[in-house]
Amino acid sequence: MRAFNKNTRVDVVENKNRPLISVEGVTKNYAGGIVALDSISFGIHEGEFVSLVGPSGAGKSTVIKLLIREEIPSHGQIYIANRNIATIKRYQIPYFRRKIGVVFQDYKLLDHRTVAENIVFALEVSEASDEEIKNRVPKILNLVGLMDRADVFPNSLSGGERQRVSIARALVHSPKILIADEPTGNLDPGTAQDVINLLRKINSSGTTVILATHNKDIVDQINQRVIKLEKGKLIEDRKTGGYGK
Amino acid sequence: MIGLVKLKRIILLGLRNFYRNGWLSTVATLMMSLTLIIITSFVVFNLILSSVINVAKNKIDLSVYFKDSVSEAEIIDYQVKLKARADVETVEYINKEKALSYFKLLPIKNEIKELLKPEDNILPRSLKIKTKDPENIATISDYFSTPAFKLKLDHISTKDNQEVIDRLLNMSRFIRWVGSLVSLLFIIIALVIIINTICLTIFARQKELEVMQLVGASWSFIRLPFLVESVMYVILATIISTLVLFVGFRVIQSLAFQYLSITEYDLEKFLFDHIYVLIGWQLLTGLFISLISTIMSLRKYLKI
Repeated sequence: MRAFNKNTRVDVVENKNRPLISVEGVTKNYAGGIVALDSISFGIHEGEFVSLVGPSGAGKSTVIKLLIREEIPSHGQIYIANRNIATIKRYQIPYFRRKIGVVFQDYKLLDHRTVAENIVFALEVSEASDEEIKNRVPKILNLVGLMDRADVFPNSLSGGERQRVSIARALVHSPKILIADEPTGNLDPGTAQDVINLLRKINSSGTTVILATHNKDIVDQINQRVIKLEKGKLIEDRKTGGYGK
Repeated sequence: MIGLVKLKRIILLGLRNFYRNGWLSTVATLMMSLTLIIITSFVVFNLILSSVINVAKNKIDLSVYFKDSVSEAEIIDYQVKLKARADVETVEYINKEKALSYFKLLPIKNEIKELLKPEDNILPRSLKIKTKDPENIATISDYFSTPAFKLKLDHISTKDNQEVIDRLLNMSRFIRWVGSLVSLLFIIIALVIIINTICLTIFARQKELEVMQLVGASWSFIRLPFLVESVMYVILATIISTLVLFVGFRVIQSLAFQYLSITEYDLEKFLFDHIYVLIGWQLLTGLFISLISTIMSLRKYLKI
């Protein structure tokens, strides 16, 4: 099966030999002798909803940076769809990124563009056709429940609405994997719940979701697979269940 | 077709960014205008200076005055020999009649002019020599200073003012050298300022670059709109700079006319005659500077 965009040069499809995402003995060192990750290994299959948990500084954000190929491991390999992502050429990175949606705590929206324009922008810069843009934008806005806010600028939106725009933008390329880095970090419990419900809805349609968070209540409530990091080490990987101790 | 759509999007994105980042765009355009004004002013200043120096240098010639005992055939023979020399531009023979007519044109009192009648014309015949390079005047002067000419010549014009000619030539070399050095200094300062300004406009939009990389924008979509913006700065700056230069040179010219009585050089005409060169030069210089600084800045902030 081929991923959504016909122009893709990087397919993200699970191979029978490995899980969709396979992190194999990965260590990440930074200058000054800082060990952000220390020989961690795990695999994530297509369609899973995985919570990546741990306190601040545990290495969650480093895992995400490695998964979106913002950084490369100091040791070990990361395979996505059976491809070692460290071998992806620089010019191929944009095509790879279109297969992985990313949502951040600080939304990373363009303030001088409206909600619709933020989404159109993601499609335009990745060379989608005018017809594709015309079809997809209303569908995505509908999915995240922001159809009536399409022409509003991000500054006029609530935190929850901004996060939904960010999710909409991440979904615009129909990614196989959606990574959310502390998406509820700036939100009140009610709004956070809405965002989590939206992520679960996206997961139920087949998208693999990785949620990095240190919010115990949310992880307990999701009650799905949990990978727990502490001081750069993987200390727990439970198939189901909550945050743990 | 896809290429055209992509090109249209890149251009529109660049133009939209230029418009939406109004303050940054205005600052960058003004800085680029100042840079172009400074660079072009100095280039034009040096061109005019060279031109004025050349006009002054071209006025330097040498006249060799012969005694009446030398026959006209001999003088014409010298004229032919001089014309054959590689360093000589023109050699004009001035006979007694011509010398008298020139004398009559001199800005002196008529009473003095009337003292000299055609029938008792004491003015010597001469050869007026113009060299290709004023630096060679001394060589010609030396040629006529040999003993063979001692009894034939009345005098040589440059003998008296050789020192003034040498000083003028030295001064022209000095002015050119200082002019180029000062121009270079100002051009370097202007370049540093504009490169920093463009770097700052990109630094201020790091978030936009981050988002572009995050959503999988291709290489061309990230970089080319910034280059389109740079081209916009340059086009607007060229228009501003050209207008300022025209107004500025008109003011300078009227001041030069009013206070220094300099009427020989028409700056406005000079600019009109070179309008296409001026605009083309500014566009090329601006594009070179802005594209180099944009590419340098993008390299710094982009990870892909």
